[in-house]
Amino acid sequence: MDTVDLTVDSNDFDAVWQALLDRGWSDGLPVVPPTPERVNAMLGGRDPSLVHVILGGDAPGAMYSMGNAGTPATVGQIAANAVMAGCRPEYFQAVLASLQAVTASNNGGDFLGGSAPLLVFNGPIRHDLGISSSHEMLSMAHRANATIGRAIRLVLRNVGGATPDRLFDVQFGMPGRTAMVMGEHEEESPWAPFAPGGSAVSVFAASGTMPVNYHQVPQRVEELLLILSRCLDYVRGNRLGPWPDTSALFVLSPKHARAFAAAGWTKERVEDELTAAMNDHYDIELPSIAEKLELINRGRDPQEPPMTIPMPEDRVHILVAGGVAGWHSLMIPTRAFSTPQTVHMV
Amino acid sequence: MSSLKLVDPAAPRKTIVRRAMSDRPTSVDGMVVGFREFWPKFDVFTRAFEGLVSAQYDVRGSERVDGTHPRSGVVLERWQEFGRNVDWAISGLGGCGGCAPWAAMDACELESLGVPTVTLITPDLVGLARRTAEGRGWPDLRIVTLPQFLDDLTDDEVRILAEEKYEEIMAALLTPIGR
Repeated sequence: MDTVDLTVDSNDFDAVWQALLDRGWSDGLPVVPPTPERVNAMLGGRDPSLVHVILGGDAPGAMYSMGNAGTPATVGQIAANAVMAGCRPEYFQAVLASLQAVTASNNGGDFLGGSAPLLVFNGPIRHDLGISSSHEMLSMAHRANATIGRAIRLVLRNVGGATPDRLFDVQFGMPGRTAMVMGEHEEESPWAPFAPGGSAVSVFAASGTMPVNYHQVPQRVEELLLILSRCLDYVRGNRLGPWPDTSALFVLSPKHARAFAAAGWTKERVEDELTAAMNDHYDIELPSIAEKLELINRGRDPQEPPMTIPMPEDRVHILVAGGVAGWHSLMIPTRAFSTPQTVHMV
Repeated sequence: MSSLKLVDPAAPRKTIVRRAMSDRPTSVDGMVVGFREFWPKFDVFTRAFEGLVSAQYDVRGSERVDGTHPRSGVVLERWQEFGRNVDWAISGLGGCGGCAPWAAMDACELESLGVPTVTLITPDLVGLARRTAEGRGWPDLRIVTLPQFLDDLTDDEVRILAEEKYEEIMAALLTPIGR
């Protein structure tokens, strides 16, 4: 492993933290110094020189790519970033699997615009590592949730070069990029898990969380479905203009999921209904876009189909998570044209 | 003073393989100009610009393509057709955080096809466009700035802007590489 000597005025916390910040290795929060001892403990005997993933997001036509497009990330570099993020050594397997999922599509480039990698864990790994799938699972209130996600961010930053001065330049950013990690609350779900078959992590390109309320008792699932569907107005509206770059994931509370199940609804049926609502694009043609398309199509061979703006036909996905007591769910807008990637852990 | 030995968590800055810019023409006589367009009023600008070019040179024609991303299906086909048909191109307008890298990336793609380009970017986003191009191996991409608020101008004001920028854009197109 490559080491560097960090010269500091003193060994006190403030001086070391400032020195690490000055190196550009931090996301702005304090980081744990990646000493060889800590990194070796994180590695757990793994070969630090092995290339684990290629970072970059340099696919043709990709909107954003990282400063180090096409750069290999070694296990040793990843371990150093996991140390800095505050991970316990036992989290490292989850960090490695998460990076595989994040880079499975476009080398991680899907997570550089207005979206963050939402990491969703299934299976025993949730309990093994203490990854919360219940109350406040998306808050940074749990060490595993907070630090596994942050480790991914630090790898993208420090190895991938996803920093503001190196291509990573978006209008607003997204707070979930620090960490957006949850487990699926399988024990409270009436349905099969999102990724069955043992421990797994799935990644979604998430751009926010929108709470959905439906407190009515007794619950009528047709009403619940109506309310969930109406939340998709945001997605439909955001496809008008003219970048149809939004789709949706729903995180149903156990209460809401059970209401559907009690009424005999399968998860697939709920997904089908919500997918139909999401992809029922507004019958609105904005005059400016119509004019633009007319301009583009002018002079084209009339035998060819006229050019249109491609609309995503993505499928709505459903997870079950959160505290057991609430009659709330979440609509999570996701990046359109991106497919959630799942990696199983051995 | 004390020293702390740490494992390096960072990768060195990637060495970019510099790609060769397309040869610059000495004249655009007999050539087809391409306009890769995205931004309100940018089409007004390009049409005024085309009029100025046509007044000075015996251009063979022009083509326009929309800058819409992501590209797939007929949009992608049209983009590829555009790349085959044009002899030189203007790519713009990079007026937002998405438009600027797109305009630059599209210009890089055209340069890789041998199509000399000039990319039009608003001042605040020149850095982003430049870094986008550098990351793809085109640090010398020819970039000219246009005001941020093109869409706030009247059509006549946009046409005047085209007249004001004409010489600068043509110089960016025609000046030989390395000068």
